[in-house]
Amino acid sequence: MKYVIEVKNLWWKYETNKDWVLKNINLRIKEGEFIGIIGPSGAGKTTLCLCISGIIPHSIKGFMKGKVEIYGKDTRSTTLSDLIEDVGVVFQDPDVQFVTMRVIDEIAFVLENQGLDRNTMIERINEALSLTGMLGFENKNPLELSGGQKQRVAIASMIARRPKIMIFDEPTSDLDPLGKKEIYSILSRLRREHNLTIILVCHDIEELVKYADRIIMLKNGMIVREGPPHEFFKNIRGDHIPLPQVTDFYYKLLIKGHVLNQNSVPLTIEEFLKLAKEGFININMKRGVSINLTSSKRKHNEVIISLRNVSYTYPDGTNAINGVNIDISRGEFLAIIGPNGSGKTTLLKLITGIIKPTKGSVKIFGKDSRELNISDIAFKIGFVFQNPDHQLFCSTVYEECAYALRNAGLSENEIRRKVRSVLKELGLSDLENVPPYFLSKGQRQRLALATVLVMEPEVIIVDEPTTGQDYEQSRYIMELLKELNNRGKTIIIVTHDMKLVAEYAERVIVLKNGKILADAPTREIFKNIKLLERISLTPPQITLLTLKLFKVPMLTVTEALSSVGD
Amino acid sequence: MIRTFFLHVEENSPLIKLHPLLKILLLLTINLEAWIIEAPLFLLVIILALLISYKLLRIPLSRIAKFLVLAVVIVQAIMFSYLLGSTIPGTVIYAKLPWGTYISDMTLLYTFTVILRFLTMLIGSTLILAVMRDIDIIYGLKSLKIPFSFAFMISLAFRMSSIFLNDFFKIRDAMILRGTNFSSGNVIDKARNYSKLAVPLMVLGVRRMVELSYILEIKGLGLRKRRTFLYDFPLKPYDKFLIIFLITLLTISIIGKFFWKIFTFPGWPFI
Repeated sequence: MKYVIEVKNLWWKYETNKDWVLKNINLRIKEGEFIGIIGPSGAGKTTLCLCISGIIPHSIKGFMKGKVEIYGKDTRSTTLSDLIEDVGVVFQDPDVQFVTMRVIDEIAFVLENQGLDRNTMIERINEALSLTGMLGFENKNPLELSGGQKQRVAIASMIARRPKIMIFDEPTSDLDPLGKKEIYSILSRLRREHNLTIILVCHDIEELVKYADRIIMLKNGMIVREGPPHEFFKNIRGDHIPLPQVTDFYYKLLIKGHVLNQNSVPLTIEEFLKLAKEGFININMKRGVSINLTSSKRKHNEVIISLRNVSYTYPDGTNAINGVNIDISRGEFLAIIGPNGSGKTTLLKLITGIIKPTKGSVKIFGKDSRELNISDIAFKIGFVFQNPDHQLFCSTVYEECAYALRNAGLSENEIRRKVRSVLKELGLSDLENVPPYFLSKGQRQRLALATVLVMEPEVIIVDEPTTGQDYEQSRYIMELLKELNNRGKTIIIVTHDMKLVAEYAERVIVLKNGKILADAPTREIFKNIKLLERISLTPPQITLLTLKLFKVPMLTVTEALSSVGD
Repeated sequence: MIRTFFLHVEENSPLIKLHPLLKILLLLTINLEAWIIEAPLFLLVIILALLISYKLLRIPLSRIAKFLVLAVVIVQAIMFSYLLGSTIPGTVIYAKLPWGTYISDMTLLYTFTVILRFLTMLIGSTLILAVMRDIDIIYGLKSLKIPFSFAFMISLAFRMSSIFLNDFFKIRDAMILRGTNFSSGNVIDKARNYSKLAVPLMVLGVRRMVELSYILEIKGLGLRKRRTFLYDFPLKPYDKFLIIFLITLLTISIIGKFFWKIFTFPGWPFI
């Protein structure tokens, strides 16, 4: 099998950067291979993709050493128009990728740019639509499709050109679980039916191991680990590598002496069960372990937010919320889950008072939201947006945090004390005078959280706290929220990440089509597999594994470990 | 229903089916007519005709309602500038202002006329833009021999406007949630608050543009000399008839104004 991509001693730095973003990368990829690239934010994953696609060095200025060859053609001496014949790229944000207003036009756009005749275009469009399961959507506006459908259109527009290599740069990070499933099924089909060489950058390690032939981990611009999945995850010794939950469980069992064969590392539930069945993993549930399915550990009695028969209809007639009843008590850690378009964001807007219900009532700390001034609610309920760039608008980090306090009329001394305290807590003290837009995405996310925490609200709402964040950043944010919750703050998160929900939330509200499908303690929700299937959600790997092993849904690896007998 | 730049329109609306070139010519004609014609009576007739067209062409009149706030602001600005800052001679002078300007009967009529011209442009442009899609701009401008890259950029700007508006509302909500009150305070306070929106909007815009530029390269825009087009829009006989009609209308308006003097202000009683 020949190598279609060869990266030799590649170094790259952007014109505006002092440091090298890629450092001595050496990589060879065979035809038809499926490569998964993982690594923390800022590791150089996207830059490597841009180098392989030819965008670097043709369209982005910087300094390059070494070389990249695609089918033997040096990307530096080959024109971009020749390179893109072979390489297609799908980026993270589907909305930005669309340049036309209809699905058919979006696919036609790349073919028109190639100068193909009309009949060939129609043939290629139909082929791409069929392959991505989008036949029948030709006249739809891409922006009005679901997240998964949008990415399918983005993929269709790339494969219509019939490239031999496809690069996917975090295509699923903004998608709900259904959207993710759709994308993985297309990747699998592309691989099976077209023998495409695929490079997938993603944080979703449990899915990646099912498809990738080889996993590459980048850190600080270097390849720090590489190999086929089973080899990649072998002999992990606290190397800060994100692991599939079953693998994490396996290693923890190994330390406890429950593993008899260290040669085969399980990456999926099936592999784990096989090892257990064959006797290589000695695992039994501890006697006397009882899991309470119906109630959370803590009791919360004081209702601070109450929604009664709440409906909300947008001016264009869309019924986003239909007859919802919710009581939220002080000190709860609540997760709201549901597919895209289920009404989660509208529900948050109702809770924060940004919008008022068209029917029913929302009571915030005992007062009807219609009678409350939003700026009064702001100091009781803080809202952290999914995209930090939507809530950063001041000239420095300090000013950003001081903004709300100034609006509230606090003295400069008081403001300084509060701002410095919150910046210290979030590890941003050294960046006080830096403009927010010069910060990394992780730092911007923390700053967005700081701008809310500085107001000391009693309720903190976070919309998708970990989207686009790497494993360590995600944990940092979630641990901080947990700490705030322990201090008595009420935390509400909206997320598609079931591992986060399982690990941190004590109560879950499941929304679909603006209605509540379920409102129960987390464990009870995750035991109800049929309910989750109805909204295309899957419980965390460890929950599914323990359900199969012990008939009991454990929510975290630590919990599962604690219930294993000696 | 078909999604246009600004709304969903019935697929069988006659305007949707118009040739892209005609949509662009109609847009130009309406705005040029509002610029050429100064006689209030004729402007009123055009506005009335446009409002009836909304009904006949099955375009929801609520489209204009969305621009009502903007229209009121501009109408106010027009009124203040003419009433307080003009010296238009008339038969009756209602008020002489300390800074040397005055309000006459003709000042009032001219102010009214300028408002009508603005409303003609607003109502007419909204009617046409309500049925326009990106392919109308691209193929319409292509018919006028405008380079594809230019036509594409214009269509992209319209398309990005919805993303821009979405960002605008999200940032405004974020500011409200941090104690900003957009509804109270004086004009300067409001302007200061709104000006803060510009920074994140600009940053987001630049980030999106950078990403979009990669995407357009990946999609092969401008990388080959020859570009083909999926659609072909031949001009049908009624398209040709409408083009001739629009050109004739514009010609008559110009002749009527500059030679026959019937469309000049005040155009009453038609001379």
